[in-house]
Amino acid sequence: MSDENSFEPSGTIHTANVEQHTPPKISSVWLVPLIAILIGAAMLVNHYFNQGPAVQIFFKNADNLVAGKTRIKYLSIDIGKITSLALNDDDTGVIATAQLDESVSHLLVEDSQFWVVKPRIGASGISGLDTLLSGAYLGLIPGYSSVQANSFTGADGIPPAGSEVAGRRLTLRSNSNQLLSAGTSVYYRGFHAGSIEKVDLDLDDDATYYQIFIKAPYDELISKSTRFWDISGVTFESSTKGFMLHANSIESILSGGITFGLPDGVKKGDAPGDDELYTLFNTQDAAYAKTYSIGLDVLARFDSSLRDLALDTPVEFRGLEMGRVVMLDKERSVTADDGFSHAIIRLEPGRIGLEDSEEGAQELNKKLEAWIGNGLNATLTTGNLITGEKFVEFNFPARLEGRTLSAKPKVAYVDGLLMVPTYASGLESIKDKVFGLFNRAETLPLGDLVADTSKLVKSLDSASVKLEELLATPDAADLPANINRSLSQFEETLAGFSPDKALYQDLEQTVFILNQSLDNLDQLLKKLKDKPNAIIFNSKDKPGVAPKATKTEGE
Amino acid sequence: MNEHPYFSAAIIAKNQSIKGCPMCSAVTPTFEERCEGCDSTIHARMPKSLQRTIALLITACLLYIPANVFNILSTQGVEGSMEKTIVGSIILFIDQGSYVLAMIVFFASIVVPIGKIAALSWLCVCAITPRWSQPLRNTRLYRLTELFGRWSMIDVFVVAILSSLVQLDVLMRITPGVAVMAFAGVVIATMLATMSFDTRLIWDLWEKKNER
Repeated sequence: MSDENSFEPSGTIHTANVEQHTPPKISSVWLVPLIAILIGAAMLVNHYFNQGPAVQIFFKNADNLVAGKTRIKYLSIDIGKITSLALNDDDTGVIATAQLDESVSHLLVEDSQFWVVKPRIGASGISGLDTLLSGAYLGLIPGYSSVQANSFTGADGIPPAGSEVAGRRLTLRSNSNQLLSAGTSVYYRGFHAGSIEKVDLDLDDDATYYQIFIKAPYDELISKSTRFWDISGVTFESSTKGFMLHANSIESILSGGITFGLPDGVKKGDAPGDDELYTLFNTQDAAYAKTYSIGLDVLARFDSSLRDLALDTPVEFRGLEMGRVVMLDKERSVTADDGFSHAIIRLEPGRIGLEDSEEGAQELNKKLEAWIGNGLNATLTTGNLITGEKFVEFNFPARLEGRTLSAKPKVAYVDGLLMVPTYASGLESIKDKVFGLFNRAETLPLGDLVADTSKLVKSLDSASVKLEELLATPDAADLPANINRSLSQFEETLAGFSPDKALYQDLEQTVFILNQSLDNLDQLLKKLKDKPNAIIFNSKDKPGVAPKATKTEGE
Repeated sequence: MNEHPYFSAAIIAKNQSIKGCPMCSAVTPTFEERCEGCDSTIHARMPKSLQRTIALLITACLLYIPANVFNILSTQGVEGSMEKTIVGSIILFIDQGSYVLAMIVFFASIVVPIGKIAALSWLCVCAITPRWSQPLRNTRLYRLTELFGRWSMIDVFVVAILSSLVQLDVLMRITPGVAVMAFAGVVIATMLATMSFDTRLIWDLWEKKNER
């Protein structure tokens, strides 16, 4: 750069003088562009470092998404926006490219999820109302993986876990035909503890898989022994124990719900693993019942209708529940020549204090053999008279009835299943009783009663006939005329007492005099009452002495 | 251009070893540092005028980059937020049919700063190379630059006023972007560059050119 002061004007006289004052060649003003460069560079660097990662999110369609406008929010904080929308390679979906803030780059891990937040009305209220005005936005649910990722699949609709972060995701497997929708609440003792995030039907397994999210602090309650069951709607059940009506909160009645807990006596197990699979039971009883893993199957033949037996019919050994009917062996029931109903009963050794293992089952088998030798029989007993629910009872009927076994019963196996002898007691005895009742009713002397009654009716009949005959006699016919005559005589007698007759006037006068006399007597009686001695002493009136106090007070 | 009536007669003061005082108009010999009349420091030419101008022009050029790259204002409203660069807002105005507004913004934030930088650069080039020196035209150019240069600030004012007025909380909120600072820097740098350019330099090379 040339400096204007170094420029030598032609014909100058004071060249030397000018050169004396030559200042430094480079002006300090050059600092200004330097600073500008620094600031500019700083701004650009800052911008690019703050720009953060660009991610790709796949959606089924671009509903409610606008390139350059749709924001991405995490816990309601703006963390970026969609910069472009394009079709994917095979034109089956949409790829949204989003620019996110650097500050959230650590949240973009493999299992992070994006979903479109739209206004939604559910049984639990209205959510996403703010999007009505601002348009939809994308929500981010950070995952737990440690592997960074920059392409995601956008969730369809329902927000996975709202904006909760802390908690645990679990998978439940259900065989129920009733479907719970994503977003349905999970409760713990009535507290809202989470929700269903995702529902999948596994066609191979033919079961419904629910991904649920249990938020903190309820996630700490989950262990390997936790049971989950459905509390949707109203359940009405009748069993051997009676009638049961289960109803939960209105919300769970309307939109269903899941709850979880531990059966009594079951200790909280270890923390579940990442791929722990839980079963979603239909009822609390079902959830709590299946505590035992090992069962011993035995066969029982009943000489009664299979209608009387039902799956899950409890099997009790002298009041102690030891198993359930697990199968009604229809095939064998039909093919067997004896025409008996065959039921397979699963006895669980764990229920009766034995070890819940194969050894326990072996032991139970031995015990059963011994009991059968002692006369053990399975009896179909009615537990609920109103509904007719049955249960299978193992008992020793011979001993109960004081009989002695004629021969020691033999232990038999059918297809490897221990055969338990049966004894038609419960149901049959009730039937007998009912029939006996009818028989007794039959023997009642109803015929005699009817005969007596008809005799009575007959005598009544004859009595009325006699009355009729009596009325038909001539005396009876004169009776009205006689009565008439008597009445007219009575009338004449009364006429003698009319006011214009002398007798009446006399009577009136007498009454008047009597009245006067009574008046006088009344006065005398009054006097006597006031002054009992008036009849002896002179009844001259003396002026009464008024009390002084009254006088002074009166003035 | 050489045929200007006064050019032949023009005598440059500096070449006569004298300099004029801008305060009291007194004429002082070049070697004197101070005005003989009013005692104010005077220079035959403003010291390092070209250096300053060029440095400030470079600054303006540098700042003009972030001024266009970054957002000049962002709007937060119920229908979402929007961020716009200078060019982006011009396109938005055109899309909305506000052609006049688009013209004003285009003129104030693109034509004027670029024109100013270009004009001053041209003047600096002319002050160095005698070949292109055309004093009269260049002087007119300088006057034009000074006249329009100040209008560049219109952009900064618009953003400042908008962001102070439109603070309707939830309904709408306008906040200035980073680019406003950069753009204000551009305008300030070009204004300072204009000020630091010594117009007398336009004429200095005239004689040299004629001498050739």
